[in-house]
Amino acid sequence: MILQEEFKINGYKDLLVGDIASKYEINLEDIFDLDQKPKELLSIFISEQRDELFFLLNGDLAEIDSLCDVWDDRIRVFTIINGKSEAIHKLKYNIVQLIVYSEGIPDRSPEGNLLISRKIIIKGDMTDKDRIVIDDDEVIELPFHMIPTDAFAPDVEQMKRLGQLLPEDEGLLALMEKKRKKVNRNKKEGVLDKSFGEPDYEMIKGWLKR
Amino acid sequence: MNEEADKLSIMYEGDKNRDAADKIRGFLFQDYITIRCLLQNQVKYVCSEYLEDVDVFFEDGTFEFIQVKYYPKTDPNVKKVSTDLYYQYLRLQMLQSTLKAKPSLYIHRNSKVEKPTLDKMKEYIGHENELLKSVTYPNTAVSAAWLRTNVYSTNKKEEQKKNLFAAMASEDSLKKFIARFNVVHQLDINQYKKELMEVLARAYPNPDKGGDEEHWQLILLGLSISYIQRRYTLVNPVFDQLRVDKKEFDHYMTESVKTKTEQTIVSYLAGIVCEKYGEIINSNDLSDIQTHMLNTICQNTVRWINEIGKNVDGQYQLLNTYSMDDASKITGYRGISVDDRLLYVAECKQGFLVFLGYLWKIMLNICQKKVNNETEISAHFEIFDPLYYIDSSVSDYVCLDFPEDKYVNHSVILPQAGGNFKGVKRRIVERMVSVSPKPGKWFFENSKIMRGKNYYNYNTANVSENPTVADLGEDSFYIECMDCIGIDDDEWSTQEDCNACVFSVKCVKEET
Repeated sequence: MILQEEFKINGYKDLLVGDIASKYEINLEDIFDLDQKPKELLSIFISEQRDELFFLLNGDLAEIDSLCDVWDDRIRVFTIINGKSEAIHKLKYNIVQLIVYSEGIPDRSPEGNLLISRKIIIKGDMTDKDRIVIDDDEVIELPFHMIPTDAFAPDVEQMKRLGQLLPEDEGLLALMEKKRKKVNRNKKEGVLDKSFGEPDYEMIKGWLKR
Repeated sequence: MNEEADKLSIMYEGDKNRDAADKIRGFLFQDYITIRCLLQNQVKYVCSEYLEDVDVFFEDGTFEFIQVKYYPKTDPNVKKVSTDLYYQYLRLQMLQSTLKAKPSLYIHRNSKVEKPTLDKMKEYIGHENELLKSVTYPNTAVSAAWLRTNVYSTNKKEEQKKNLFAAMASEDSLKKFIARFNVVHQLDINQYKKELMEVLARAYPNPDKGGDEEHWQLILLGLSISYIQRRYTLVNPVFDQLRVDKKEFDHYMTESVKTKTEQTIVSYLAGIVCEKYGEIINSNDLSDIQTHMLNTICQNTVRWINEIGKNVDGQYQLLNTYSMDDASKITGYRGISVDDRLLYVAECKQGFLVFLGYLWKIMLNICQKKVNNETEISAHFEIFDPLYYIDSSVSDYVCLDFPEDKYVNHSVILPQAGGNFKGVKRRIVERMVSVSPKPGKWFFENSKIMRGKNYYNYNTANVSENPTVADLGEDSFYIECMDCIGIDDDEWSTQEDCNACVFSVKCVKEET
């Protein structure tokens, strides 16, 4: 799955492209010097409802915890400067650092830090930084990612097989119904017997052997 | 000269125990005049705040004692000035001084001031009818004893003058006094400073031929002012400590300008402090008491700047407060050469001027609330000193702790961040969120940032739309837009109540 496409499919726009930032009332100079875009910054995606902001960062260029700290500072400054802005106020508590790394197993503890921004750390192939490839089991980390509904459709064949497994004996089916039935509390030779009665037991045994 | 110095000491005896208001030393304009006198030929010593505002001793025995008045718009009290100078002249005659007395009034005023006539002087001293033609003075020792008994028995200047004139004034001495009395009109403080800097630059040219002349002139001004003002902190000084020897001054200046050192940087900053003061008093109708207070604040600021700026760490602390650059550039300041550091300090001049403007105006507001007249200044001397408001345990930035601000212990005055330079605002904010301890209040003019409460930290899982004003902690801070504090031309004479604006948690502007 291509990460950038996933954003686009879900209605997100990249503020680093063209004059999109100004359309969304965001001044990029409040985040970095326009002639000195931080190397680790790949995109800044804003949601269609303008209530979420994702900073897509290359986690291969620095230790992830220090990268998170640096970007928390940038985001902190950004929100302070724009304290008066309605546009920023709307998304202030929904800013996410989405950090992509390509190799190894990084320290994911920064994800537990919810100060200033949320942090999501995922693995991806960044050979082409404009088309980052991520596995399906990584994409579910994205809060807006919807698992397709067909994944939940019932398997007809499996349903049929399951049906065949159910007992046909009416008496046995009655045992599966929820009943307030007093449990036998017979004590035989010091052992408490709470099991089914002998006829029920034989009936169940017969079904399972079938 | 020793014998003459002893006679001057006898005169000084009567002056040094006077009321507090008379003892406050030095005004910047008279410091400029002191420096200008030191640059004159034939001058031997110059003394600031000894017998008169400026006393100049020439090689040929001329002794010019100068009252310095800076009254751009108001009328000077000619009676007081003339009788003050006659008082000095008469004592010199009584003590049989061999110095050639030259009483002078150096004044800046838009309209001309004439020296008084004989009749006017008689009227001023109050003995028109019974004034003797001439008086024969006893010898020096007897005169000294007489002064101690009959004049110095009071510490009130006007009474001292009255007692002396009653017994020793004469028509002859008045005539001689008037003949020698000079009224010298001076330029306004900014023009005077400009000319003085040019004279300094001719006397001590920049060894770096391609260097910035404006910076160089400010360095020379700061160097010389700091040298003169050192004497103002002396306790019970004697003539030898107070006088500035022209040769020693010349040696100090020559040595100081040979190579650029930390002193060069700090002198440049001191020069800016003087420049700022001159601009304020020239562009505002300040009352005498306001001018006096501001002058005392300015003098203490020069002393503080000389202290904090004497090493690279202190310079960093200043720059980290008022620079418009990012943290990495200011951190890098520590590693560059003195030449480059001087250039950078000069680049940040505007920020320093704004910093001084707000610091001084807030201090002036506090001082005006506590001090009602000139005699009370020395009783509250500490409140005129920037150091009184600075938390010296903080080295990251100039951390202010105004006792009047009941809510916040750590404040910072930041440079103006208006205009289209949005990156400037970001850089300043970036620096402030990473300093330690974090300031609880930012005096941040024209930043267009939300005034009132802001947060250094907030939890994305804990959205609080209406925080209470009570939870002032390390994670929150206030931004003051400074709209209530006027530092532009014509705004300095207006006193603001800081408790109702910048020291209050509620913004006055938002309430209305």
